[in-house]
Amino acid sequence: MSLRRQRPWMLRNISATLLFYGGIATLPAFLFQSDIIIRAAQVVLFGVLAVFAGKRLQWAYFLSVLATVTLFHLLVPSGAVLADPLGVPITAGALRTGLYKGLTIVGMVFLSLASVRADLRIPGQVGAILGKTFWSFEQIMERRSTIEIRSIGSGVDRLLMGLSNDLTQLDADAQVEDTQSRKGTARRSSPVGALVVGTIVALQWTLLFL
Amino acid sequence: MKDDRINTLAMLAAAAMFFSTLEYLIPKPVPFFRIGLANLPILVVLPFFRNRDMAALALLKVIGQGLINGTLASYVFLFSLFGTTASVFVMVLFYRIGGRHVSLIGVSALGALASNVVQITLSVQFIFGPRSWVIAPPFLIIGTIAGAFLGVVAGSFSRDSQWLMRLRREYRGEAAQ
Repeated sequence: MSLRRQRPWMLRNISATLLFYGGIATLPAFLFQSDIIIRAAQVVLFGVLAVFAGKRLQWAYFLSVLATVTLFHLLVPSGAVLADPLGVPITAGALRTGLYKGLTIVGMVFLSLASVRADLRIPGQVGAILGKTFWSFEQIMERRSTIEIRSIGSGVDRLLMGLSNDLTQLDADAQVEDTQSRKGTARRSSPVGALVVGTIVALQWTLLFL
Repeated sequence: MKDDRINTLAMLAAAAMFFSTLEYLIPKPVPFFRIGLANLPILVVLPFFRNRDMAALALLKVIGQGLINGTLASYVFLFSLFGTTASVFVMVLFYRIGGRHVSLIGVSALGALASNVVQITLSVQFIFGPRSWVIAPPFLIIGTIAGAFLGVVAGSFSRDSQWLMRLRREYRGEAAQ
């Protein structure tokens, strides 16, 4: 489980709820960011935060996602021609759109990975559904490498079966206080932890209005 | 709502988000065209899900798609919301009326058609004007074919999936109580 790989400092000082709301508060600042350089920096930051949150990131996979999205956008020329290798024009508009979209998708995945952890409990039914949706998404992204191309259907089936069992286990854990999965995790954030999350969120919003 | 149903909704919504990330990698032959991979979770539970759970799943799928694609704050999100609503409404209606005489392939193709008709109409009315009709024929034809293809995939998964079999049993057991 992800909690075991998390940095102890994060577990002790930042509660799962604060981490989640920090991610939600950061989201609009990321989505509305139109400067592609800042957006690229945000993606790297979210990636580093995801690693600090104990998630395994396959950087090569995400780079290939970025490259593929950009490549497909280059197939539809738009704007000034920057280069013309092998007779295929690389246009400024298509390159920018491709990179922008690619960074958006990778950044969203990183942000989701960084801000959701196994001990997240949001009150109410809507909160429960949202929390479990993000947790399940994170788990699917972590386990996707277990799906083989030759047997996609059975691979997806096994993944969903495992995920379903894990969600049931999470519910059981939630009903038992001080279970192993929650031991040592902060129920409330420390002032320093809250300051760190607040600073990261404030930084993203500041960058939006620069 | 019981924990089991919340878990199922969350898993299916997460699967829709995952398929949205895959969809991003696929080139688009027609502007705004989408295969609709994120509809697969909706299709596989269509035969046994309650209507209100279908509505909740559709909403979660649209929000998840908006988050993943970064379109939550744009008109694309509204297009997706109205398109998905129309699609799910048509699919549920035809599946409930048609019963055993309707396959997932037909229902999925009809759902795709409904979604695309709504999106083109919105595009004509509010964004691009009457010129949007130019892309209507290829958009509708390719969209319907993609919908039928998704129906084939959903049907194949529904037949073989152990997880779906267990889920179906749980839902039917709950309905019988």
